[in-house]
Amino acid sequence: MAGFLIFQYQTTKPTNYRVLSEMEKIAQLRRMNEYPPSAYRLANLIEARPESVVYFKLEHNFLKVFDLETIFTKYIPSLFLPLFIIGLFEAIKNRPKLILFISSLPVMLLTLIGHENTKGPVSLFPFIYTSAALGLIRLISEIRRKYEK
Amino acid sequence: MKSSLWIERIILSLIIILAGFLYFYRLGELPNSLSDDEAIVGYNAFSILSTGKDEFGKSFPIAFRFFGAYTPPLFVYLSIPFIKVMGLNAAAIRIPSGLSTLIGILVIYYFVKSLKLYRSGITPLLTAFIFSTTPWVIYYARVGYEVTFGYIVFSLGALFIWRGITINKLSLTGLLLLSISTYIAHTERYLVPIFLLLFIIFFHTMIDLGKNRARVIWAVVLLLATQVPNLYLVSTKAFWVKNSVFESNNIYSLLSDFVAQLLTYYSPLALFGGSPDINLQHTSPEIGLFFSWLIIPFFIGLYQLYLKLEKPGAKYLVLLLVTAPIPGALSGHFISVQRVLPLIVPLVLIIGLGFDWLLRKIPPGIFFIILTTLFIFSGVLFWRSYWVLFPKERFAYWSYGFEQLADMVKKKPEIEFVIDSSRSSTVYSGMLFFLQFPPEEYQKRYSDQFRLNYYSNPVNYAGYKFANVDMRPIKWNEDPVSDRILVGDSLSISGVQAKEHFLEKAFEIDDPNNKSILFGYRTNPNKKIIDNRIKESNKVPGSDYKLER
Repeated sequence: MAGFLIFQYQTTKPTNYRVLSEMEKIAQLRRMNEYPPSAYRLANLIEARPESVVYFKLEHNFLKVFDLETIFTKYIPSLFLPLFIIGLFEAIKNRPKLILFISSLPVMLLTLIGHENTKGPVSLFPFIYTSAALGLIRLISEIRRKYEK
Repeated sequence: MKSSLWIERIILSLIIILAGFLYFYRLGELPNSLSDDEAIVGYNAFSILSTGKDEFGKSFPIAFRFFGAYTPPLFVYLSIPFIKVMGLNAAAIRIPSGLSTLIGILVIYYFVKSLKLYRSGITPLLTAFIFSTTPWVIYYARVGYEVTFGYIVFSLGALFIWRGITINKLSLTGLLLLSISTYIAHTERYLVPIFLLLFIIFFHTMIDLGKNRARVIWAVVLLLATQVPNLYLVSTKAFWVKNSVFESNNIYSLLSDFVAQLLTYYSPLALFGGSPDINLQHTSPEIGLFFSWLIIPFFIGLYQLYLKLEKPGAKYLVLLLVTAPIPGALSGHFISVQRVLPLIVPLVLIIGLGFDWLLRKIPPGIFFIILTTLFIFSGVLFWRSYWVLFPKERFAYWSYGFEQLADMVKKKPEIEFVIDSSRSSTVYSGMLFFLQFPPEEYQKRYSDQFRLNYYSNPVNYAGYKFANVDMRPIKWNEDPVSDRILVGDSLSISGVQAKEHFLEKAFEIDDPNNKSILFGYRTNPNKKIIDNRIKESNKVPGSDYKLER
């Protein structure tokens, strides 16, 4: 897991929170002008303040971690998704604090550094595959239990 | 007990009042234009009100042809009394969506009360509040077409069905509502049979067949009786317009498309981070379908749902969650958030589960301080998205400009307006709406033969001519030699073309950012005819080359 986190960090172009790209600057200026004149201060607070820029970028990076469609079509077969969910929930049932801690590491990393990486969110893969394996084990034992009844 | 019930009712009323403000405030002005879909609904409702026939002259159709969509009819008929009272305008056709969403708040409230999954007495009100203030809900409470009314009636039917099985009864009211919902929107037409089939498979043991035999018989009779119009439509093209995904012969491609679409609809990024819907008319900029921070109670709620899966209420919630996006995923290759509106209810209920758990873990005072802060923050971001950015950035997707154009047309009834519709043949609906062109006149365009094959004959016209308006592609070899005004955007009529054909600018229509989007040019037939003659006389006979002077 640590190896994947380090690999993710080294291969990702980090999000620039301080400097806006040309496109971002154009969009920011355009948006500032879309506010009514009476809301100029609010416009400045929401669109131009560095804290707001950082907030929106962090929010975007955080939510992009949960891009199920990309992860489970481009990187991991879709079949793993239900197994992953079952395995994750079973793991949380047994060791909630540990699982939440382990899962939060790649989430925090990707939130901070962003997703500009040709390899994808590799730091998530060990967690997803392990949970999916747990989910498969759980599913098999559940089927066995019902069959034996 | 009594006083707490009254307090609950007062708070629920306050939530509904707040929601009313969100759904109806400046309803005619925001969205700041009428989409083609809204205009065609409004005009057909107006046509039925005036003549008893739709725009094509078909009497009280069981599916409205519109642009070839064959939309289920009930929303159009529901709009009629509002148009009668308020006139043909945007607010009149949008009000039914807002009113039905207010009913949706009660649906959520009573679902939370009856699913028996929630422990806190505050959760029903909190979940109702979340529903009422969700961006996805507010956006569709303010549109004037059928999708909102459809999912609310479906959800109401699902609620009655649930309450029925909790007392081992099959609810005929619920079945009737589900059946009615299939006449409101395309989504419910496919969703209801899928939902009912899975409901019977997984919940038949909860219905005491001994006690319910008569009810089951009545249920079958009720469904058959109310589905007669749909059963007729099944044999026509009109029923099958929204399932283009089945046009592919490749099973693998079909399945992978279907799975990819389902994953997108369930994806937290799509729900909380910004919609993947490529049609920008369907969403507001810079905001998710839900407020982003609701992802936390959503994940908690999902886990709580998993823990309670043995309970019938949890299974029913999973049934709603699993079936809701299926019609949307089957309807085409692109993501469309308005085809999966029934997904709102189970998602909000899951978020409610998450809040229910949080209410038990966090001291109430701290919980409500945090919640209030987050909602104020979200309220500001929603105001930014919907009230500031949306009218300035998404107007083009709502056919902005045609109301102003209709005013120009009305001012000059003696001049013919040729309006370029080469890139969007559906814009004629806005002109009909704003001109309030007499439906009985418009219906004369269509023959009896056309109406005879109404349900098997999707519309495909090259142009629309009514009043002093002709909506079609501009014919550059004909139009400049007649006295008329040519209307189009900068792609339709360039400066070079205007100069070449001696056109004089008659008017400009600006967008909300004060940039011109539509131009009206008056032709100059005399100059153009003379110019044509000169060009003809300069041609060398038998060749395309001009003589050098």
